[in-house]
Amino acid sequence: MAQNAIATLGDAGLLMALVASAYVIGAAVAGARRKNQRLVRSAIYASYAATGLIAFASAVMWFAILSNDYTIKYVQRHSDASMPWFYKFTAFWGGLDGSILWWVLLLAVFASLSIFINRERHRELVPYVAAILYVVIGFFLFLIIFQKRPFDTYLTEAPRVGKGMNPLLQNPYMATHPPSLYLGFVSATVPFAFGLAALITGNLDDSWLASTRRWMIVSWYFLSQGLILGMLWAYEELGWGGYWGWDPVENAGFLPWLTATAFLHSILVQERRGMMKVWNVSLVIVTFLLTMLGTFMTRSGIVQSVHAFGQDTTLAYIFITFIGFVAIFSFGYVVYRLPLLRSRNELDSWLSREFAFLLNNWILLGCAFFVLIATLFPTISEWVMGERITVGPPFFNKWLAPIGLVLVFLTGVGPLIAWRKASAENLKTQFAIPASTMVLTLVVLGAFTPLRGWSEWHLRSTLVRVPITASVFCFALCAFVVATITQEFYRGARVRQAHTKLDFFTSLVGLVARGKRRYGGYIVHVAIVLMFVGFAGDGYKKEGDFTVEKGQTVSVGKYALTYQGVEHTSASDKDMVTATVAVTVAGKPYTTLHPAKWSYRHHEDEPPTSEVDIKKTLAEDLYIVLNGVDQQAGIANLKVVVNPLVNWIWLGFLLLAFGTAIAFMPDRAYALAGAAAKSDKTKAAAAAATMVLLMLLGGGVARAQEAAMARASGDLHMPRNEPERKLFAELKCICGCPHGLQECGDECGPAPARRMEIQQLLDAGRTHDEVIAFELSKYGEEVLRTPLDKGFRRLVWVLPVGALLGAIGVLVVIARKSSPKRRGAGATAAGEPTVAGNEDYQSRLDDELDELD
Amino acid sequence: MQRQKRKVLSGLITLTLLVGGVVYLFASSAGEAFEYYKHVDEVMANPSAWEHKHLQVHGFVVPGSIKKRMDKEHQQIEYKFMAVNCGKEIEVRYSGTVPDTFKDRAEVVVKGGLANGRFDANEISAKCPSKYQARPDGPAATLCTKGDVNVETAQAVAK
Repeated sequence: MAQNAIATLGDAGLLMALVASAYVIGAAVAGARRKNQRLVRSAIYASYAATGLIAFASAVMWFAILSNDYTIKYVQRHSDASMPWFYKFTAFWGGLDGSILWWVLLLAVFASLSIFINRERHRELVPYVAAILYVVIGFFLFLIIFQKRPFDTYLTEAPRVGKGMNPLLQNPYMATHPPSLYLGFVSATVPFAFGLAALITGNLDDSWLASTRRWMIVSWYFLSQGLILGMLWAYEELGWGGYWGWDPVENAGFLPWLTATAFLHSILVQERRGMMKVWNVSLVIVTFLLTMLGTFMTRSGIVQSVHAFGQDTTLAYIFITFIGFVAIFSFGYVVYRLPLLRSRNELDSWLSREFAFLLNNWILLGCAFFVLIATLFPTISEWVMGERITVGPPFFNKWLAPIGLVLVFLTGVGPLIAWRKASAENLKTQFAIPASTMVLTLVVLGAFTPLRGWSEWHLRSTLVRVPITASVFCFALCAFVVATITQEFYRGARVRQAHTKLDFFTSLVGLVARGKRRYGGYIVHVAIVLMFVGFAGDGYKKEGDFTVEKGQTVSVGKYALTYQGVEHTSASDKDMVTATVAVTVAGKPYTTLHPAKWSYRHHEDEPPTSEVDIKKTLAEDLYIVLNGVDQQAGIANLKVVVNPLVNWIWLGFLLLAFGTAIAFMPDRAYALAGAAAKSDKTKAAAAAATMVLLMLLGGGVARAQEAAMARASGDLHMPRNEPERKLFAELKCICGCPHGLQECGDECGPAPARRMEIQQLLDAGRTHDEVIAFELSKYGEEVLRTPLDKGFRRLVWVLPVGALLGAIGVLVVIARKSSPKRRGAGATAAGEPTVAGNEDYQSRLDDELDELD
Repeated sequence: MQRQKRKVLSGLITLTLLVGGVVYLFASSAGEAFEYYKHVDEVMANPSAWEHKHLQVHGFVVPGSIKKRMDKEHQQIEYKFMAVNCGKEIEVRYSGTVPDTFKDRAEVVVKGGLANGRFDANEISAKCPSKYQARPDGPAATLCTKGDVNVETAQAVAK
């Protein structure tokens, strides 16, 4: 049977990959211990082979999904033929078994990439890095071969129809949020492998840090992005007006983010002062363990969450055993190597940058510990006291809000305070302006904050009433940080300007270019501050529920909202009930909002989905949900939420992406102008690949639709001339097929009628733009094949894809440049100083020079 | 010697803070933010014992039991439904916005308190559309979760 051959191919690929992984582990360790280069090299080749096999198995799975092979259970359960190919693509990771295969694929690619990049640079570490990485890969392969088998087939007759994906999940967030988080989780394995390899070999100087710093940035960035996308998804799609619920699955993503942040900071202290070495190895181990714990929590059923990921006690035990083993092994090595991890220097004073970093790390780790315990509290309390007790958002917010403020304060202090010991002089020159900015902000805002009773101004997100002054403090501290960073940029540019005698702006750009890590980091700090401003806005949130008659006006905050009735419309896949709510402010018309409820015809057993409408401004969001409509009684129920400052969170993230990109850039990209010829080719190739991929993905997202097609008959009203064909080509066929309106045949019910309608409009003298506007008002912006330039929506998919490709591009460039042959030619061509003869020494010297502050 | 002493001291302080923190968390579990997580059948085994406690009750919506009322006298939509787990049912009342996934057979967690054998909920969460597992499709009697494991899906997974 041809179809089952596919499943067998997939299984075979995975099994061979497992065998290859076992070889990698054995050969790498043996080769390292016996100092046998050939054995190590064979292990490296075997690792590439293992990755290739895993990629092959993944390709098999994608093929099965895209060709609708329902004999494979996984395909049948998570996909169906009527889904647009783009969502079929994402069905790969939509189910438990496939998600583990996705994890393995990503890890294998990262493993091979990191081994390839570092194979010459870190000859002693690489064998152990390979062994460790392939132990983890082997573990996950073991899971999908023996436990959660993605290629299992139906033993009897396979269902004819696929189950498909719930319409609630068919949106761009489903395509970008999980993969982003997975990228973040999986990439944290590489720093761990390097750290543990350094511990095992005893090579605990700073060289292992150099290779892992960028991987940790990648991990940290994708975790940030995944978390933000999750927040956006909850906010825009789920209709409860908030973006974070301290749900265990949310926390699972947040925990490694905290420790990764701590690591990225304490790395600086080790590089500068040779301190915090134990911190750094421990943090990479803890970050990896937390990613394992995160994936364990979401799959084992050990914690209760609204994210229903399944319960499997066997899986739980397997994970716990593996995590326990890794923890004991890794920390055992830390203890064993403690003598080598001794600090080169001591803490000279509390008033020093070292101490600021130390405090920062303690706080971040403390937060992580707190969130971990609170998340696992039900499990712990059941164990200890026999009762499951859960901890809710009020608890988290009460404790983490003040701690967050301390962190913001440190963000401002850290960059400015001197190393070793800050003198009074230093404190005065550095902090005079920022401190006064903070006090000024406090005074100004404090004057405007009414001291009215707590009942009117309390933090909605907590049951505990905290006065609004907490938010005011937050703003003051944010002002403090922005002042310190602005001062840093300004003074730095000024100094450079004095030397180079160029204009201020050029000096500023040059300053950033020469200190990408530092100034990129500062930009990220400003971004975090902006996000905190957004979070602080939650303290001023206002909400209201209303049952209204047509024409009735209600008010929330400064808004007067008039319910004007509902309209019933249909698309081929859904029926829509759309309310019209006119909003005025101080008597003047402000906006009209259209919250709706959509009922999908092929998913009648699902309740209608709430389509929230939001009016977004920098100051606040006006957010409306249509809860229900009673046509006979002529009433509707609305929920109105005013979310001040919430858009600063999303804007802050954009700035974070920008800052991370700057900090991530390799220095050599700027330096070796001489090797331009060769690197141009690489860049051109990378750019071409990027464009092709972006086009494919862009086209896919633009076509992303829900539901199946309807049948139609009669005259098809095909385009009569070229301008008409072009006009139709700009519109999507709303039945979910990937065609434009000019192509949809009789398999798509409403298409002919729509075409006829448009033709009639054109005959009546309407212009192209008027027709487009008409279609937009009828079907919404989804009807256009090219997404509207509503920056927001577009960014949701452009940014993650762009970030990933950007990161890959940079890594590829680094990989190319790590090849010794090229570096030999390039270095001399550019006239850079070289060390005659010794390649290794040259490359190490280059690394050292690169990483200089 | 001084250095050693300082290290031991800081280690002890850290440990004390950590342990003290965790103990404090447990001790303050009488507070508002802490809620007991129970299944419907566990609560219904002895309803009077659970009155006046903050509860999160997990169960499934009995098919056909959702009743909703929207009228001019109330600014929020009122819901009334039966939640079941392993055969034991409880009536739940709630006013406000329900999640989109709230429907017959949905797996829900209701937060609130028990009074007079009825559950007054101030919050309802329904599980996300099952990403990783097929929703149980059997008759109402199979809507049953014991401890952590959903009996029905465990059997489905084992198949």
